[in-house]
Amino acid sequence: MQDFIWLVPLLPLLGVIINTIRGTLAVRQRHTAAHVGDHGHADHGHHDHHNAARIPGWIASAMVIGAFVLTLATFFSLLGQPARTAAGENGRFFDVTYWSWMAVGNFSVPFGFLIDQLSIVMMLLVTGVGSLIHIYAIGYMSHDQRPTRFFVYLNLFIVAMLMLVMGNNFLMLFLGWEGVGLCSFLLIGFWFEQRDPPWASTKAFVVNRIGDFGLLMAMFAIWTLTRDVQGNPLHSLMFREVLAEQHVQTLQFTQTAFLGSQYTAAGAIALMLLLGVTGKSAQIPLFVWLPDAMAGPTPVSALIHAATMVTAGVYLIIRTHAIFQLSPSVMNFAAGLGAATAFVAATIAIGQYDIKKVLAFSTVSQLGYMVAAVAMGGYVAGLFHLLTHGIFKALLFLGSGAVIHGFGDEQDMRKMGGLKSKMPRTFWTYLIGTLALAGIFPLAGFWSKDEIIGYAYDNDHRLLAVVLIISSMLTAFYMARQVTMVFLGEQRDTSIHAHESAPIMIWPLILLAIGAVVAGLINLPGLHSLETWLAPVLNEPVAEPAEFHLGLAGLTLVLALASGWLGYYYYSRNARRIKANERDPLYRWGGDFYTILEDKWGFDSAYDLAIVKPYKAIAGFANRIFDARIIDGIVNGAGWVVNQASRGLRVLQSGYVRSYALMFLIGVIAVLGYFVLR
Amino acid sequence: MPFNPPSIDLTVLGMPALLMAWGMLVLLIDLFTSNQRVLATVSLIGLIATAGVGLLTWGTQRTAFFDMVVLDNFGTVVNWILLGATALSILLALDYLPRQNLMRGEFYALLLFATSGMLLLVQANDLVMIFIGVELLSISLYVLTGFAVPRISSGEAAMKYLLLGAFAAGFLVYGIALIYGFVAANDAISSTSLTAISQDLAAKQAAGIAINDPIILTGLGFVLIALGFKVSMVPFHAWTPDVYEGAPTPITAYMSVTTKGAALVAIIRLLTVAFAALRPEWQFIFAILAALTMTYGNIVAIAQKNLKRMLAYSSIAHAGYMLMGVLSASPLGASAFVIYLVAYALTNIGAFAVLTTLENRGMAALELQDLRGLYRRHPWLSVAMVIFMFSLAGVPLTAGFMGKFAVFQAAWDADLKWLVLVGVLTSVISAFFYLRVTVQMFMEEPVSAEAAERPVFATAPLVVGLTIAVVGIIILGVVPSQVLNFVNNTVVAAAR
Repeated sequence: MQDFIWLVPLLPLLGVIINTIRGTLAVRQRHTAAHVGDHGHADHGHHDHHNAARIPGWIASAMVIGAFVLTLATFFSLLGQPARTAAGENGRFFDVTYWSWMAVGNFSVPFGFLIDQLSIVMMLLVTGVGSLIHIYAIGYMSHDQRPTRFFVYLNLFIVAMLMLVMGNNFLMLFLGWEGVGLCSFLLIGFWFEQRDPPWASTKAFVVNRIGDFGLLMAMFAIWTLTRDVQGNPLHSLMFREVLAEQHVQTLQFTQTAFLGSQYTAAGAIALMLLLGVTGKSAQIPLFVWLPDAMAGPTPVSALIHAATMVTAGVYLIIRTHAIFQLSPSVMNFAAGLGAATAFVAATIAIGQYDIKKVLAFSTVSQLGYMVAAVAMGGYVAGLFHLLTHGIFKALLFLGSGAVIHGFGDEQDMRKMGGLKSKMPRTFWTYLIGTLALAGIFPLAGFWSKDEIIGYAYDNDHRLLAVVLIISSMLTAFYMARQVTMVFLGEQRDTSIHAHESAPIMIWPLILLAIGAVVAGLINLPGLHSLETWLAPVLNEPVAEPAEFHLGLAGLTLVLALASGWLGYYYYSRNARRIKANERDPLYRWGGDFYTILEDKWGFDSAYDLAIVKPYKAIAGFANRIFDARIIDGIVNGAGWVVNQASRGLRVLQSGYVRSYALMFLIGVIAVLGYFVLR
Repeated sequence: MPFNPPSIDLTVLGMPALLMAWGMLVLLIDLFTSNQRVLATVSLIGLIATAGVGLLTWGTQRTAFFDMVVLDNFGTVVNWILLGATALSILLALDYLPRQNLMRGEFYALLLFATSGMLLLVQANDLVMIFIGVELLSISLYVLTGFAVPRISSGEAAMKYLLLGAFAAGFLVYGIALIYGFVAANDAISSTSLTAISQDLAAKQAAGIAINDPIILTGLGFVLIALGFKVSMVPFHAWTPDVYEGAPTPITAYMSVTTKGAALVAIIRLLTVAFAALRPEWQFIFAILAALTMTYGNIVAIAQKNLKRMLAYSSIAHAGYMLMGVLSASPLGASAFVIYLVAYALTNIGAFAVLTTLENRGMAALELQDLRGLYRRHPWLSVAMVIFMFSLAGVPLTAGFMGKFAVFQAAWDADLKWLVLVGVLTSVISAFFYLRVTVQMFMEEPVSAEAAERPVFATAPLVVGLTIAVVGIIILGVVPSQVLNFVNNTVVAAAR
């Protein structure tokens, strides 16, 4: 299989190329046709157009399915190898280098893949869930203006995400990291005619770039600070070299001065990596982009903003855990950050009316669980939750997409209600997803969430365990609220004709629902398949399965059931109080506290006040002061030329050159002043 | 002192001399034919021939004319880049000039003269030669900037450039005089060649004389300011937006790349050959200026509506990134600078090429919104523009990323970590306005029905130029090893 791994990302890339060429030719054709005045193509029946619109989707889906099949084959070929070599080292991996991407002097970074137990699991998630979402999107986007472009972006995302998890060095990871950010930007802003998407996509991109910045700095630091056993600079970005135990240990003893403070190299790198994680995986305080990212089409929300891209941060921590482990303070900080995110986002989810916003904050909250888990050292628990969450959250998002699709593109839950009878299949699959997310026995979420809480409890993170249990109660509550508001009771806005979605959208839901039921099997207590599978790559001598605490699990389950029931009871009792454009019934109890939840704890306004407004003011100010032409108000167009011509060369005497020379002189004085006075 | 006639060593002067002569040949041909294609073809042949001279003299490392001119592989590589950039600019201009009714043959001759001035500047090993090179390229550029003179903004730009250029030239001369004054105080050496200066400083240091004297520092400051003016280093950049906006677009493309490249090489030679001993004095202040340049260029670019102005500010910012490589004052830094220059040349000329295709006769200003819906009108052109924007923003797998990565690495190595921080942060900011361009092309509707029907002048020479740029960017982004190694080996060898 080793020889064919490159096919995995190549297939979706091929999809990108085929669809781009098809699309571009079509655009040219249409353009020429429009020029000649031939509107013959308009005569094609609606049906024809409908089918034609599905072709790019099928091409794209076929490519991702192909990639999934290849990934499965790779998985089995890994399985066929012994877990450990005779020397006790990891036996199940391929490290393939294709070409030397950058090689200058002592600097060399290859373009290559590292397929080990960790990356194969991520690849299975990306291509597996990715396939289902691609198929679903064929139906979802069938009425859209630009299906070709959509599937080009979606395939491109798969390529970038695969680069991210398959790369065998930090630069490859960064390549994927930037790539998924770019695709995310393109897809959030996909419906650019509307008011919100362009804005939301820019916000996502800018916030993500802050995280990217951390990753890039971390890379430079790794490059310069890692030493080999003799204490010479290692000068490598390869995972298997940098993260090898004898090399990574050196980071512990190197001190580095950065902007006036002293850090251990490991601490500094871990902190910078954490900044990357915070951006990509939407942790406090950088989570603000993810809820707005819901402006993109729903399959995008499911694939990118729930199942795969946003978990890249968790993957990064697991991949570089050898560095994180050397810096307990950063680890503890990250764990606290994750737990706080889990809690804060869960409360905000209660205050949302948009069906997708609830899920978005739920995603932020669950990402908090994962980050907390891996930052406590529970890598397996974190990855386990990442996988199960990838399945059931994709299910929920796709379900919400089916609701939106079948409910006249309306997303306000206050207008819904009683949709259970109108879209039964959507309802039942959605209910399974909800129970899985709420952590109800025996669905996938129960096992994975419980493992995280159990791990926190076992490793003396009692406070975090309590926070996470409370958050899981909140989870059950807001999901019960959502299901009640959407599917139960009576339909509130009866002007909308609700209908069930087409089979092409329902089948992925059913498959994912099955996944949400059984995914817990991969790491059941007692079996610990995932634990055993990952042990070699985590450098653990023997698998140490987390103990299953029956009492703790029982307590969590009971609390989740109770708060879920409370949510159901409260919102079905108060169903008639829910009205479009009016406050939630809970407002009567929560008062201003509920307003804070609606307002997302004020994060957005704080950013606006502290960063966005001053930044705009500075750019505008600099432009006004230094760009003299704008100040003069002479702008574009023919009027400008006339204006200039009539004024002739007087412009030259109006002081511009003089003021430029003045600026020049000020610069001269500054430079000379430095030389003389230093 | 007896006068020793300089040994005439035309090998060393080969590239600039041949190009200068070829420019005169183009002028002569212009007397007999006004066919633009003939003139352009002859000029292109001249550029190739000049590049060929570089190939013939490859490996030679010597100075001539009393150490005033140096021939080394580093200079030759940069010369090749400059020649390539000139050739691309000619491809841009070929159909642009007739369209704008600017059919005068001196255009190509002037372009060759300007380039030969740059080649001379690259090979200069003496303060006086630096001055001659700067003036040679500047005077030709003043004329070229005003070439579209029916358009008042073009004449205005030329006038501003000339006035401010003269102002800067004054500083250059004065700086040279001050440096000479300090060096010549030592009777043994009375030359302004860079090697002589460094020997003199070393001798003074050995004799226990303080070399961080205000006189020489002021002189160095003046020279660097004057050269900084040419690369549009903040705060000596003020002319840039106006001149870039007013000049004919192919000339903007040309000078945004070549002038910066040539002047930066002069700075590298000045700092590493002559003034290496003063490194603690100049490094910090010029790092500050580089940081300012990156920050200012990227921030003000965001506020621009006019495309040429936006690219002008972006080119200011890119000068800042190149300065990072220059200031590292190490072989790594010099090679990073060269890599950045290649990437920037391909990308920036490519971006201006796209603007050239859109610029019809009498179009006063190309606004950002003129790009709206370009994807519908000309999809391939938009795809090319996206690649250029990504490369300018430094997205991985493009040449721009390689360039940024190289200069950041060099600066980090030179212990200018805070400067790397500024560089990465500002490149984060820059992504915002580069992406805005792509958004306009793909995601916005044209402003009016008339705008949707505007012609796109993607003629054959331009398409050739665009293809070269796109292919180059992708090669340098995806499989750059050959290029990187070649540059690195050359530059490191030259530094020895």
